[in-house]
Amino acid sequence: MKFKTIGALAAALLTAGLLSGCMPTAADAGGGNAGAETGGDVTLAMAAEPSNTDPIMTRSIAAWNMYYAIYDGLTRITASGEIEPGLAESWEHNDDLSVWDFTIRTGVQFHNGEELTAADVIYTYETILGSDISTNRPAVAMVKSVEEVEPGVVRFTLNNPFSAWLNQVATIGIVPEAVYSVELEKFVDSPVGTGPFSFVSWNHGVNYVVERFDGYWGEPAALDSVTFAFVGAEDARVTGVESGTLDAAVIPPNQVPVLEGSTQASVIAAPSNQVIFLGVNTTAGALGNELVRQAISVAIDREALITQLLGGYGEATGQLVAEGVTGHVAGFPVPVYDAAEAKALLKKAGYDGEEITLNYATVGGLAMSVEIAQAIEGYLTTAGLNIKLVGAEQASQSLAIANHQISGLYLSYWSPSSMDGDVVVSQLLAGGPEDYARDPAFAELYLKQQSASESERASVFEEIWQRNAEVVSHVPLFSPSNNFAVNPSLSWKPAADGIFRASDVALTQ
Amino acid sequence: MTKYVARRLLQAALTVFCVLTIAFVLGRASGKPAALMLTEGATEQQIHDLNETLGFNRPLLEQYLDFATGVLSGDFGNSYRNPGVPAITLIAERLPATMTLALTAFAVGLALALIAALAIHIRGSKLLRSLFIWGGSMRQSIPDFFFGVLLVLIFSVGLGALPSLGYTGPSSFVLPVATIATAQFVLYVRLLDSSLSEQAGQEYVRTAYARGKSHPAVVVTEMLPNALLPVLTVAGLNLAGLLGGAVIVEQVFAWPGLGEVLITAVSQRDFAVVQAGLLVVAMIFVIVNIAVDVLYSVIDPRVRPS
Repeated sequence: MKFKTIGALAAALLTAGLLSGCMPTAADAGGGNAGAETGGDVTLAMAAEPSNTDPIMTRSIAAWNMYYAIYDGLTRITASGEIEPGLAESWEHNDDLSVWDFTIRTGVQFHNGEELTAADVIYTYETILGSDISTNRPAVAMVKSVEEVEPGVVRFTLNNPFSAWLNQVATIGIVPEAVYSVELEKFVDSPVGTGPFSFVSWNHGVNYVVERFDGYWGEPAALDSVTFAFVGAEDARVTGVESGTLDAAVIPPNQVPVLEGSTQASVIAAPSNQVIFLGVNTTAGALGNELVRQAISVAIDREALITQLLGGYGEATGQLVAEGVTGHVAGFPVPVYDAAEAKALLKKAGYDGEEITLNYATVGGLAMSVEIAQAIEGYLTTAGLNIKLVGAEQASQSLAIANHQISGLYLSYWSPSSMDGDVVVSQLLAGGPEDYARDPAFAELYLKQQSASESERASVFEEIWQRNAEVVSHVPLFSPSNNFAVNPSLSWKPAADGIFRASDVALTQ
Repeated sequence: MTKYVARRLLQAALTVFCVLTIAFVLGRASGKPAALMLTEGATEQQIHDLNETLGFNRPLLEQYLDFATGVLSGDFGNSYRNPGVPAITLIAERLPATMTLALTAFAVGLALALIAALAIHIRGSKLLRSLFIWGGSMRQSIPDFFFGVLLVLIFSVGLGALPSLGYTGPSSFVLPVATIATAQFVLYVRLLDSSLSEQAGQEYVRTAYARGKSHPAVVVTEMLPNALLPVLTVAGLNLAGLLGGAVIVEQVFAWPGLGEVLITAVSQRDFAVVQAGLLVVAMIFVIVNIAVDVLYSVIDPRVRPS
C-alpha cells in the first residue's frame, strides 16, 4: 500500500479570503489571544442547552461548545476552518482515501492524570459504532474497522473513499476507556477528556462551567474559567451583554442596530458556515419544469434581501456551501436578479398559475425566517408565480424535510459543523432526504468528490455547483454572518461554525 | 367531607389520565423524533433505524398500552435525548426554580394587593383608589415580556444594580419576581376593591357598626372574609398557572423552570419529557383546585357539602 503524507498542511486552502466583504470583521475586535493577559473568568451565552453532553452518544451543535473545551479529536478545526493536528500528531492515507493511519500524540494527559493511549481512541470509535442510539454513528458509519497497526498508530479502514475524513474525526471527542467503560452513568455528570478545560459543574437550565486544565498538552488556555450560560431569548442575550451579566452572545441581525453606539457592548460580525437556500421538490407539478426553477432563481433579489433584512450582514451566493467551508469555489457566479428574465422564463415554461407552496419555519432555527420567507414570496409573486406560504415551527419543518414530505418550495439552511461540503452535497443533491431530483449526474459527481485528492476536490465541487446552476435542484440564496454581542474587553475571533472555542477567548483588561 | 374529597380525587385521576392520553396522541401525531436527533447528514435508512430502536415504528396502540402500563406503575419513560435518564427526573429538577419564583411572586403580589385594598377602604380615600387602580391598569396594559425587558433596561443595563438573567443568587430573583408580582397585584387589588365595595352596602355591615365596632375593625373582621371568596377562586387558578411554568417570564430571564424545559422538549419531540411535564402541570392544577374548593367550604359554610 502506497501512502501519501499530508500532515498538518491538510485543508489549509480553506482559509483563503475567509474574512471578506464590507462587514466589520473579527479583526476589528483584536482576534486571537495576541497581547491578551492571562486569567479571568468569562460567561459565554448559548442560545440552546444541549440535552446531553456525552461525546459518545450525542452529536449536537449546542454540545460542541462544551466538547471543544473538554475533549480533543484526532484533528482539530480551527476558528478559521483549517484542519490542525489534535490528538494525532500526523496522519497518512492511501491513494483512494479509504485507509487512514493516525499517529497518536504521546505524553497526553486526561484530566484525571491518566495517559492517553491508542486503545482509548479505538474504544471511542468502537463504542460509537456499536451503539444503536448514538447520534454520532451516522457520522462515522463508513468505518469498516479501527485497529492499532503498530504501537501508537491507529488505522481506520473505511467502506468507501472519504476525502472529508480529517474533518469528520475532528468532531469526535476521545474519551478515556478506563473511566467511560466503568462509570458510564456518572460520566456525563463528571466528564473526563484531554481538552484545554476540565469540567467543574453543570447546573441544568442555567450554566455549564469549565476551568483551565494546567496539564494540557497544547498551548494552555488564557482564561481561568469559562461559564456557558443558556439563554434562549434573543432580547435577554442582548441585554445580558449590555448589563455585563454575559461576555459574549450570538444575536440575530435585527438586534445589531440596537447595540450600535453602546459603550457596554460591541458587535462582532464574522462570516458563518451557513448557506440559506430555497429547497425544491423537483418532482412536483410546475417545479418539475427546469425553466420554472431557473425563473425562481433569478426572480429573487439576493442583494436586496441582505441589505434590507440582514442589515448588510451576509453574502449572496450561487453555491450551497459558504466561504470557508471545503467545497466553496471562490468567484463562482451569483445568479443575477432579473425580474423580466424571470417572467420570460415562466412564459416560455407555459406556467399556468398553479399554486406552489413555500414552507418556512415560524419559530426556532433560522433567524428572521418569517421576514425572509415573506420577502421571497413577494419576489416570486411579482414574477408571476402563485405562492402559498405555509408556516410551522422549526421541528415540524425539519421533520417534513427529513421525511421527504415537502410538496413545493421550502426555506432552509445548512451549516456543516465538519466545515466540509461533503455532507451538504450528499443531503441536498446526492441521495439524501433533501434530494428530490435524484439526478444521476450529481450522484456521479458526489462519488468523484469522495475519492478526489485535496487539489482535485475544488474542481469537482465547481462542477457540482455548475450543474446545480443549470438544473436548479435547489436555489442557493445567501450566507448570513454570525453576529455576536461582546464585552468590549474580550479578545476573541469567532469561528465560522458559530461554536465557541473556549481556548481562543481571552480578556484584555 | 371524606367522601367529598375521595370523589374529587377520583375525578382528578381521570383528568390527569385524559391529559396524558391527549399528550400522547398529539405528540405522536407530530412526527417521529429520530430525524431531529440525527441532525448532521444521516441517511433515511439511519433515521428509520433509530426510530425503530427507540420503538417509534411500532403500532400506535401498542406504544400507548406500553405507556399506560408504565404510568400505572409510576414509570413515565426515559428521555430519548438522555439515554437512561427518567423523564420525570428532568422535570423534577426544574420544579424548585418554578416553585420559588411562582410562590414568591404570588405571595408578594397578593400581600401587597391586600394591604392596598385595605388601605383604600379603611381610609376611604379616593386618591388612593385612583392611584392603585389607575396605576395598576397601566401596568396591566404592558405585557409581561415587555415589562420584564423594561425592568432589565432600567435596573440591569442602566443602573447596573441587578443581574439581567439567570438563577444564580438572591439578587437574580428581584426582577422576575417584580415582573410577575406587579401583574398579580393589579389583578387582586381590583378584585378586592370591588368585592369590598360590594360588601360595604350589606346589612351585616350596618349591623356591625350598630354594635359599635370601629370602621377599621368592620373592614378587617367583617367585610374582608366575605370579600375574599371571589379572590380565592381567581387566585387558585392563577397560582396553578404560575406553578405550571410562567413560560414568558422564564424566557425573558433565562429562568430554568418548568415552562422552559417543556418548550424545549416539545421542540425536540422528547415525548417522555413532555408527558411527564404535562402530568406535573395537570397534577398542580388538580391539587390547587381541590385545595381551593376545600378552603372555600372552610371559609363559607354555605358551600360546605352536607
